[in-house]
Amino acid sequence: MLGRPDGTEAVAAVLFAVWLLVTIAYQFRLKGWVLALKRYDDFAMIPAWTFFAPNPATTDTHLLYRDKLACGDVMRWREVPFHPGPLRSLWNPRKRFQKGLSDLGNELRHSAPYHREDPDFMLIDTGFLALLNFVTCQPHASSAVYTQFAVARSYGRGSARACDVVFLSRFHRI
Amino acid sequence: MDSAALLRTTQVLISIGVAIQAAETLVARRLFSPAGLYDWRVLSTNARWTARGVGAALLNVLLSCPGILVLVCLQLLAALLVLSGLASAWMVVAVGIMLIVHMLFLFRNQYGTDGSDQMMLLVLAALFVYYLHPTSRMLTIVFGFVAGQLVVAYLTSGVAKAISPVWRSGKAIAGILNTHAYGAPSLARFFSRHRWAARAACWGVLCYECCGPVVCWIDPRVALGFFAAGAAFHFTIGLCMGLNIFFWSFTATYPAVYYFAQKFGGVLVH
Repeated sequence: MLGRPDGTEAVAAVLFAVWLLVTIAYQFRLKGWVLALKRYDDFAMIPAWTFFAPNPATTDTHLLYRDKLACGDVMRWREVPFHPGPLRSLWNPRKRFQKGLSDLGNELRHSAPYHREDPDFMLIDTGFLALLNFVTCQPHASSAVYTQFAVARSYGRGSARACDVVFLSRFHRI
Repeated sequence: MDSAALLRTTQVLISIGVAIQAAETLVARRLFSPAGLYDWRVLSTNARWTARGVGAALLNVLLSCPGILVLVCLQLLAALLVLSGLASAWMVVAVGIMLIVHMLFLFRNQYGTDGSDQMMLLVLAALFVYYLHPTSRMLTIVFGFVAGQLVVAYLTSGVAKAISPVWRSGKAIAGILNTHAYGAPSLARFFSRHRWAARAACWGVLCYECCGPVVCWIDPRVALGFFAAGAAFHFTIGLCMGLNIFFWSFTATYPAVYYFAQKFGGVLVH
């Protein structure tokens, strides 16, 4: 039989037990304090384990942008391309782009309605700034002065359902 | 299987995951540069203390480019040292580097991460605490934590699917596979033509996630069956959906479950 746990083991046991209990509580969003705690979870220590459920990800997120030229003409929409690699079961460096775009698209979709009264507040939203910064650094027409971006959602290959525009920015100076 | 072998298996599996992830980050380094989707100059504006002050200055050095890429190189090196067996005397340092860099990466990128990152964090944290105080009781404690997290992960995911009409109807997997991001067009077509197969796949995942974590404790042989099915499940997800790190992060937890299946399995049967 093992003897009594030493101090380090006892502290570790308590900490891991609390960590596990908080994880369980967060899965079912049982208490308000767990949600409050999650807001300070900058290191993603409280996991969410509901993979692709209850609502599976059956949509794709697309990032499009278009330029306004110095003469006032507006160019056609262009999509920032995403091509999944052939060996992605072993090696998939592109997944961060695709997942980031999807997360940012969802964030803008949820936060934009709150800023409808005062759209300028959107200009200090980190997700919005990340997309605007990224779009600004994409290739542009040589005489482009402004750029505008849109986040759109499509419903899978061959779907008859039309794409939704979930967010449309104003024109911003490049 | 003795506890040392189980511990080594966990180390190897998680280190392979860390090494692949670190190498992928280095290849996709443009995403983290000033022109990328994860530009730290923008992400740091998320909170006042990360944008201004002394803490912000330190974070700027660590998390901007090239700081973050240097850290990821260190993480890759630590993972390779663990895999090679050369770090056995310095395991706490090697695992500590992998853990701290992973935590900084998650802190830096508040979006674009997934469940494999979260499980990787939990496994690395457990290993790190074990190597700070490597006793047999500490191994039981950290393996208990890791096994508990795996059970919660599968059960939560299974229950969330069980209450979802889309999953129960069999439309979920075909819908996911029909996307560009997580898609496999030929499989999506197959499932849309063969509704029974789509329904069987959805219910198979649902039953595995709900029942597997409950029955795997009965006997070590049952646990091995659970692991084989889990490895096949995560490999298929990687193959079809491109979520390649899930395989390494989740299979790295299986030795912890096996540890307890060996310990308590016989007791439950007899």
